[in-house]
Amino acid sequence: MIDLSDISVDFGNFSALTGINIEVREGEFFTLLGPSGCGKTTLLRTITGFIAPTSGTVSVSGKDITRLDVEKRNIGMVFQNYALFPSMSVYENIAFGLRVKKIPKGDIRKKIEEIAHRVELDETQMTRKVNQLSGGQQQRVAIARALVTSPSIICLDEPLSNLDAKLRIQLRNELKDLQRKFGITTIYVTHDQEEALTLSDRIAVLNKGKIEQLGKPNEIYNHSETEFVCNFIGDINRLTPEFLKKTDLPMDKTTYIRLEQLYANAPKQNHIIWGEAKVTSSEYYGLYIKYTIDAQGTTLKIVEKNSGVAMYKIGENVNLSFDPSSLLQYERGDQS
Amino acid sequence: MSLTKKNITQATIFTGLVWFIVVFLIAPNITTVTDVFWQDGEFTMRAIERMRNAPRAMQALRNSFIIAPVLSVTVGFVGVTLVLITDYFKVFGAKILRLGYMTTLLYSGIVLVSGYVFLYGNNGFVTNILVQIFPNLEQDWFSGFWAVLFVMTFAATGNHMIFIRNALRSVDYQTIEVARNLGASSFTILWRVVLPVLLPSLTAVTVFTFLGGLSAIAAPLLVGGPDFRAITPLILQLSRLQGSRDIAALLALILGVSSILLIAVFSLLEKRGHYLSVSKVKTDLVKQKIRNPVVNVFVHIYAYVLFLIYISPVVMIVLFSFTDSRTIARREFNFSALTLDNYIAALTQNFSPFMTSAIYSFLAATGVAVLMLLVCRIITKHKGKASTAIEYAFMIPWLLPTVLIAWGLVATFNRPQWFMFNQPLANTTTIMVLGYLIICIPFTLRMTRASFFSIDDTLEDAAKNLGAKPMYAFLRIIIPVILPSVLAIFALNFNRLLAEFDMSVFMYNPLSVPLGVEIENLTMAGDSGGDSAELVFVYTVIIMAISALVLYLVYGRNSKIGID
Repeated sequence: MIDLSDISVDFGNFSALTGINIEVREGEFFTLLGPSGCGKTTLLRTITGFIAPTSGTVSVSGKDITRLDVEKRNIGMVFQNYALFPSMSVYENIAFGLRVKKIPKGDIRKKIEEIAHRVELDETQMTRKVNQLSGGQQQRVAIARALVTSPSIICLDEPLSNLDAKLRIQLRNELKDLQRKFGITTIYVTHDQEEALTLSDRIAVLNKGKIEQLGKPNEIYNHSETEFVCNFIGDINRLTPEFLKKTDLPMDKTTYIRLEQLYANAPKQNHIIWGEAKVTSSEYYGLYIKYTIDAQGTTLKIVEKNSGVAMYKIGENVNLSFDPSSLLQYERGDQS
Repeated sequence: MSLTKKNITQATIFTGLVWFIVVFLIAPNITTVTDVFWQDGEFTMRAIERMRNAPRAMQALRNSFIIAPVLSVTVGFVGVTLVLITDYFKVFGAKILRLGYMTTLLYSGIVLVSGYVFLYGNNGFVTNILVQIFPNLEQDWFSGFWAVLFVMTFAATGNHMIFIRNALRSVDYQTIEVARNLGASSFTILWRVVLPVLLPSLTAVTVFTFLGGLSAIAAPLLVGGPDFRAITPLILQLSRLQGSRDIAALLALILGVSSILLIAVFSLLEKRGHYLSVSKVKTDLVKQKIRNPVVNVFVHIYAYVLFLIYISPVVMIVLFSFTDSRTIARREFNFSALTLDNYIAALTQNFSPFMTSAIYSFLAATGVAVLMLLVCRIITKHKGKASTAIEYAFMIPWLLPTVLIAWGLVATFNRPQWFMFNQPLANTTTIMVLGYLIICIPFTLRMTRASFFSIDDTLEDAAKNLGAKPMYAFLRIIIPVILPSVLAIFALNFNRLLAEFDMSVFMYNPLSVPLGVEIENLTMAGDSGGDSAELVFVYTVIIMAISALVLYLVYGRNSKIGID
């Protein structure tokens, strides 16, 4: 569907993107994930045509669109702040792209009614000015405006970043539902790893203008290929040489283990039994509780599902164990 | 193909702008410099020598350089006290007082000076009362340095009522409360906590008061009398004498260099920084009670005396504009003399100056709005050395006094110039409109630029992403967003130009006299016993009504420009 081949973008002496190769499949929800300044928005703007790559090609369904003007690409975009036109009503905002394409008035009305129904905007909301809408409604207008012209692809640039935590989760679910409903190929940009893991079919993790790893959410999380990805995605414990000394594990590599893979008082057959460690503090999160453990000088964290009663007391000793296959190991100096 | 077309359009616009800058902003100043230092084909200092030997010129220079600093002090004192009376201290009737103090925003320049002449001038309303009390007082007592200082002091406090008032409002009340909590007296709080916050705005306003005093023309012309010559009126006088043009040009140049130096000093001062509130939750200022009863009475008397000074010309002009010429000549108000004849006459028989100025102002305000839209679009969209150079070039008129700009334009275009396609512009509508347009450029550029920068870049990107071409996106998305600001800027420029005098008096065509010049002519004639005052009054009332409407639309509810 979308083929990014060896894309590089330079701004003067600064390389924003280097050698990017991605193939996005039709109907896929594809996420570009990375910290601020990693080049994800630059890559998205290269796909939509706002930035011309220094080298490489952008193809859609086999057609090279690298030098095609923005307005001729037929790629919808939802901006971080939605970029709704403040001088227009909701209806006029959605109709803008259709009017530009000189669609007959009757057809415009029909298309808008249809899209409004699908994104659940009612007639009263359609006559309002955009500043009279809530954050969630504004997001739906932005999506409707991008989709009404029937683009082949839709790009979303951190559309949830300006919202509060609760609304973000609610709209995240709505967004996924809409994507399924429309079946449109979607490229999503975010720095929020939880958002990326829950929404995406596949994720490309970017760092310093390069792809660190490209894969399904579970691959990215459980089999992080680089130390950067392993640290960027989810909470993780770094196992110190002092900790590893008590095991037969190699000490020449940097070793990590996810919090939920480290067990207290729950050894299994294939586990390495590390021994006793002391609970030093706990953090209550509602659904689960996070405990900090002192393993003879190495500080570690574990999580336990909240069953209603505190599982461990501060100062209590627990028996640590883990499955060696769940460890993530990297050559030293791999951290980008 | 489209890329080539785009490049050609860009190159054409760029060439056009460079031509405008060179021809209208740079060439006139070069002409002024060469008029002074280049005579008979060689470099010469003769103009300086001639000026030094001309007592009138040296006296004018001395007078202007004396009145400018004195005026800065008097305006600063009166202006700050006005703001403290209306917005800092609890003074009875503060809202009414504020309206009175703000009347100078409705009428200024030549119109305001003519109002003061009606009250204090020869046979003036106040003069007649004073002569009855002091029979030995001369009828033309209101003349010379002190009269100019008096008129200009009360004419120039409008900026304080806008900018110093805004600065005062930015004072965090918690800082006053904490000072009191730490034991500070009312005076210490005012001196050590409040006034330092006003200082940056006060410095800016004072610099412009100084420049206003230096290049004053209306007040010295109308109330300066034979004893008080100032630079700009002398430049005007000398510019009409063939043999003294080099001295006039030199005086204009001295004004220009002084302005540039002063603005440079101001910029340095400005870089020292502003006092910004660091409070997390800023609280609004609460008016302070004057605890000392004697000081309280004194402040009230002072406030209402100032109120009378500000309001009396306005009241008199409005009242007498509805009376006949005999009543005006006698300065004795009589209800039986009330009539609408003056208005009917002004709007039917003597409407020509008004129409002339309205047309000039409309054309110039429209022209500068369109030109600055184009310039600001380039500045914001194509950041680079070329666009920065264009921006700086268009700020040239900000550095120069109006008289220097006027002089340069007249001197350059009173003969055919190849860069103007050999078209002489002297005495044409074009040069008047150009002059008006040029003096409006700095304000328009800064305000339009601010409007452009407040637009979210993604709006235009979103339009393009939806298939709109750049020009369509600009016209359909950007223009509607900035249109309210552009219209507000247009209205303020139109309002400013309607009774413009400083530029007009140098460039007007005797066949189409603009309003400012007409008011000056009529005031001069009225002062010598003519019956033309009623026209001045009618024009003044109409100008005040238009100004009030413009200011309400721009700064009133749903303000689009963040000055007030």
